Amino acid sequence: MQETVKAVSAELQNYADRGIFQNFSLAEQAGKGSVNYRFHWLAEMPFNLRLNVQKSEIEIKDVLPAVPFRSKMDKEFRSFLQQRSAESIPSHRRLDDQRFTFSCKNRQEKLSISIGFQSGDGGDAAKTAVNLLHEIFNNFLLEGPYQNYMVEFFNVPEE
Amino acid sequence: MAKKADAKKSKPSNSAEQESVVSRRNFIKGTAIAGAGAAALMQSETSEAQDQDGPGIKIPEEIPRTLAEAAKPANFPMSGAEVFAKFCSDEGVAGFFCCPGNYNMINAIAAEGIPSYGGRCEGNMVSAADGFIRVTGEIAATSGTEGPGFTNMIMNIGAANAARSPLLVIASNKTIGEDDTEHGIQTAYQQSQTDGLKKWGKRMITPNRIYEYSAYAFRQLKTGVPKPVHLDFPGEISRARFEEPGELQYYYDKTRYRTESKAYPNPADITRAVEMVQRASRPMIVASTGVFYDKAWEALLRVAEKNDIAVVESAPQRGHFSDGHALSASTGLDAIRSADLVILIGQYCMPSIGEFAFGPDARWIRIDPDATDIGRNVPIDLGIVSSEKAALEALEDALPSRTRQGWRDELAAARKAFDDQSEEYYRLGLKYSADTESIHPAVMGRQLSDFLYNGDIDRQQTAVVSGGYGIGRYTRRYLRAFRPGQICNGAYQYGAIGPDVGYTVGVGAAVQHGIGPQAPYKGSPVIGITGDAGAAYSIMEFDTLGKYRIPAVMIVYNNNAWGVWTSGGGRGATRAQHMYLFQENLRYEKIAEALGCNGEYVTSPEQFTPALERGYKLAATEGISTLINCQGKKEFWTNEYPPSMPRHFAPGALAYYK
Repeated sequence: MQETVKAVSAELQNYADRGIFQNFSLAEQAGKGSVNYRFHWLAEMPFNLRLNVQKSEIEIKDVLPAVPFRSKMDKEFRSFLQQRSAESIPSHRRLDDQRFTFSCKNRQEKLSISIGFQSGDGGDAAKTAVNLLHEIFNNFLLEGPYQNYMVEFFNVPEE
Repeated sequence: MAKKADAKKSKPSNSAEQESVVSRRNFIKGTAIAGAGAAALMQSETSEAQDQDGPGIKIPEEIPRTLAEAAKPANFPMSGAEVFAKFCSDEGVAGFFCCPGNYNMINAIAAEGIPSYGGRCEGNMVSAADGFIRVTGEIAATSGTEGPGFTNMIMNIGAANAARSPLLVIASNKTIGEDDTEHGIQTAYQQSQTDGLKKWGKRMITPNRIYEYSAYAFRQLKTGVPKPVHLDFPGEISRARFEEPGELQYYYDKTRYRTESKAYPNPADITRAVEMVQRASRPMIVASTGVFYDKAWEALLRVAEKNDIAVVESAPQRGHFSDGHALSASTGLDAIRSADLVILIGQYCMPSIGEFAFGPDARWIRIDPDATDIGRNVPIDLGIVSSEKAALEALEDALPSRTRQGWRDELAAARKAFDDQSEEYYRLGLKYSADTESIHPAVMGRQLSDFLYNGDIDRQQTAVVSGGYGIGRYTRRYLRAFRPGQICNGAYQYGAIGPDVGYTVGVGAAVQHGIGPQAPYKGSPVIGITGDAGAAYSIMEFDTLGKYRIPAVMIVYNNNAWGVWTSGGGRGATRAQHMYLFQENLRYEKIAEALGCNGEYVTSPEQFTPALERGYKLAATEGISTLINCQGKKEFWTNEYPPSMPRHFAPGALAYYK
């Protein structure tokens, strides 16, 4: 159990040490078998990753706000997530769905992603989560019709 | 008369007869000249059409006559203004753009033989100089009068500063003797107003130090990372008289007051860089501003080809690495996300993490002449202090030859995906145009691209000012740069949308004189792109285009609103909506006509290319500029018409601000 926490924490800490994240903190929830990670990167609001050691799962919590369930954006996001495992994606950026499981939840109009991993794969799962966040912000939200959404909910400049 | 002209324009014109009619129509006939050079202007005649309504628009005989006058370089005894003008000439200032004011100075600069242009608003003339610099790499100067003229220049100085343009700003400034008195008019302290918008500035105080401070100015302009330099000249300085050289302090040749020496990279750093490149699978160079100003494009090409390193551009100008090259990532956007080593070269305006689309696992090398900036915004894995050219030459020597076929394949696939997406947008644009009886910007972009790069024109020929706000998000997708200085990226970091016609004056002047990389295309027409909001700030410069016969075609996307109009009613601020909108269907092309140029009005996809062909031909053959007013819909920026307002992507062809 501690090995998984160590591996995930070390991977995320590495991004902070390299200056990719502007800041980084973690909080272990004693007795719950989980660790919450928080960092600023790509957006004004911090990202929250939750490691559930018991379930061998990393959740990117509430990554996209204000997305009604079954809305066009909700569907497009799920489709985007699925396509990230496709053969057409370069192998170095493809989500490895043989090694990890990916699922998307919409709770109170907030989209979260869970990445399930096998024992010993926690570090790579963390790396996958960070790269997936990058694809969401620099691909899905950039290529799609989300200029107004980004202004409204992520406070990006109007221009 | 106007209705008659409109009827002609509403139909595509393919026949020689129709073209002939267009080229002579209205009062334009009266100002037709042979050749495009400003010095070749001839006395105009008055058109028949104008005779019917009143005096015709014409170029006064003084303009061609005085432009054709031989230069009269000053010699002692000289005024302060003449000393400075001679200094500028010796330092190779390649162009000068001003509005009257600072009279002693602008007269002296024109007399020295520096190509000089006088326009209609000081701010636009700053942008003309800035545009000239961005596509030539040479220093240009700009001038405004004290007080209001100078404060008109501020926005445009800010834009030049963000773009790191080596712009020399000179302005008159009352007299030292009247400081603080408010005697007469136009009192203003200048230097404090350009704080944060310049590299260096000085109000001249002591007449006999004018030469010394000129040296200060050019040391700043010609070394390190460029930015505007601002000198202001009180009357005591410009009017001072110097009988002989001994009256000037530090009066000696430029080889004594500045150096051409540049920083060379530490060999140990180059060794480390080579190790990093060799470890990487998908290395990518970001070739930015410094590559252009250091004239390092040939070294860049050799490095890229030697080790199969991809190159993406990011700068206020494009073309120092051809979009047509197999290693170009400027239109291979998805490959940018794949790079595992990023080598920033001469990236003076630094992005922050996340502004460029590189992934979180990419390593970063930054090569820059300014050590104090390395490490700002983006944490580095290796920093190299060097001139861009020297670093590239050192890398060329040290890197082994290598082929990365997988990387080349991924770049090719990314470029194809981008082109496919552009085609999809074009098809959507055609549908939206038909649905709304207007023209969608994707259609304009695609047709412009076909005209410039897939027709009879040498694809390297035409320099383009890629401006505008919303329109720019589409046209950038279709524009290409195949040689240095082919695209002037209008907005860049400062995001000013107004200067586009000013930039077009400057870029047109650069091509008119064949300066720097524009030499092979001397006299060719240039293209400018802007929106209706942007056009309003600088449209009066059509008089400048007209009077100097700078051959340009300015494309104005007219959607009846500010580009950010969805920020009002679109967000529920209905009470504010009126502030975002203009009157609809405004006829900007008629302003161009009223200023002695040609106008075209386009309301459908079928009309765009013929209008472009007519405008380009008129510019090429008669030096007459055209404004093409393209009627679109503001609603194209809403999600009703996806992809609506595409978001910024940087670096590369779509890059807007960095």
